[in-house]
Amino acid sequence: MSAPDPSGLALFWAAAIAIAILVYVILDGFDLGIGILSGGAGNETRRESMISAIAPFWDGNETWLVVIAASLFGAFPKAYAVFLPAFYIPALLMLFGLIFRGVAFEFRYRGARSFWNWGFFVGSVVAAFVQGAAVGAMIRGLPVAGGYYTGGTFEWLAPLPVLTGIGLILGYALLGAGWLVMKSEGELREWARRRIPGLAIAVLVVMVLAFAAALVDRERIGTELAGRRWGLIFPVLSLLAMAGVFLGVRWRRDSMPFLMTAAFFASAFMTLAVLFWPYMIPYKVTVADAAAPEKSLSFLFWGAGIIVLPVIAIYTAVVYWVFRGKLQHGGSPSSPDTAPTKEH
Amino acid sequence: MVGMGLIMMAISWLGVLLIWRGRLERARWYLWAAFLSFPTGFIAVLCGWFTAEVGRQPWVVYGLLRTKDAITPSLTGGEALFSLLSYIAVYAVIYSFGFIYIYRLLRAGPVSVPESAAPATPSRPLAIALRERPE
Repeated sequence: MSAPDPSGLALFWAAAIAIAILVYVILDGFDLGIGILSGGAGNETRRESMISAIAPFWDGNETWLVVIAASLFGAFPKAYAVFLPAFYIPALLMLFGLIFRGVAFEFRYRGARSFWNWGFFVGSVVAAFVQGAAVGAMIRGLPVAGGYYTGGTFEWLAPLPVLTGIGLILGYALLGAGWLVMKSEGELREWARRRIPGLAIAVLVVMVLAFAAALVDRERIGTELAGRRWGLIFPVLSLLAMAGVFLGVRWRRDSMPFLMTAAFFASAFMTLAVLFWPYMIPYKVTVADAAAPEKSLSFLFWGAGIIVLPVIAIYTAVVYWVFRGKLQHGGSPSSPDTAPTKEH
Repeated sequence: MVGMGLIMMAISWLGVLLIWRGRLERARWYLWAAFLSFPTGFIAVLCGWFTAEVGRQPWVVYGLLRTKDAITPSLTGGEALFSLLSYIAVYAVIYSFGFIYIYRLLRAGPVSVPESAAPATPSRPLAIALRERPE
């Protein structure tokens, strides 16, 4: 089977979506991760500081999810038409998870606080799980015939997707812990740092199990990686990044665990990209197959591509610049007087 | 939708008339009418939505694509029912809480609002900006 090569515009959009997914995973990853960690915060002061560490960022981070969905819908309608039906229930659960945790940011100050704390935790866990499960289901290969999804409702609850779902919960929690170490001081930083080695080990264990599950369940999986041995550089890089996470804890470098976890996610993402290319829906629908007509792609390029995407990238960068540095310790709306002075 | 628009216009123009006559604060009937008009925007949106969605049937893209041809082949009735019921449940929970919180704000009245909504809730980016600003 010789598929046509994707056009330049199709490549631009595929790259834009790939970058948006990676940015989304790292950025929303740390704030979902803090939601996951908040379930074990132990006390309200710590939970308050954890939420303060993501308050200016989390909703901006989620705009990348809109970028991904809208670009996929506009530029690759055939991939969108397989992806959404295949993940009908997971997409629904993800929205509910994001709704509950998003509303919790505002509602927990207005009453029924423990209910909304619970909503913040469970919403974050559910959103992380279904995102990971979707990745696992993609690695496993979705049943597609004639351009339509032909699988069942619960394709995403096979062993491999469940493992990748758990893996992403742990991976996001690791990102979140790294973010807390980078953005906080004192007790909270120590609390988060103590959680990193265990989470990192758990991520590695789940990855090994998922790899084994993929080998057992490999009849649907393509053999592209075998023909691209250079692509093995990415799994090696991800292991090195994970070693960096442990060293960052040992050397007590505050930014290193987060940055190394982000590097781990980036190299794991590149591993998948090498495994999947040239497919957009793995082993079934290629980037070229899924692309919208050139006219649509070009229309999207001149509007969304060179104006909207840079604007989103710029405001994201500005927010992180404005809120750089360490979070002040202990600030909460009920006790603003406990906030000590800022150190730098 | 159009009817709601006319009601909104009538109420706002009547309000202008009352301000012009200097009787706005003492016209209790008008203040009640203004208060009771709060759902007009919502009703207008719903009516407009229904007109567009129902009026377009049996097309999903008018003149090009029939609704029955546009449906996802793999979608089952069970999935559709589950998603509909769970949307209703989720929104029922969130809107119930929202109504309670709005009701409390209304009960508290405008005077105590600045206290109840302190400027430094950590859910507001501004609060972080205020607290994080270097000396």
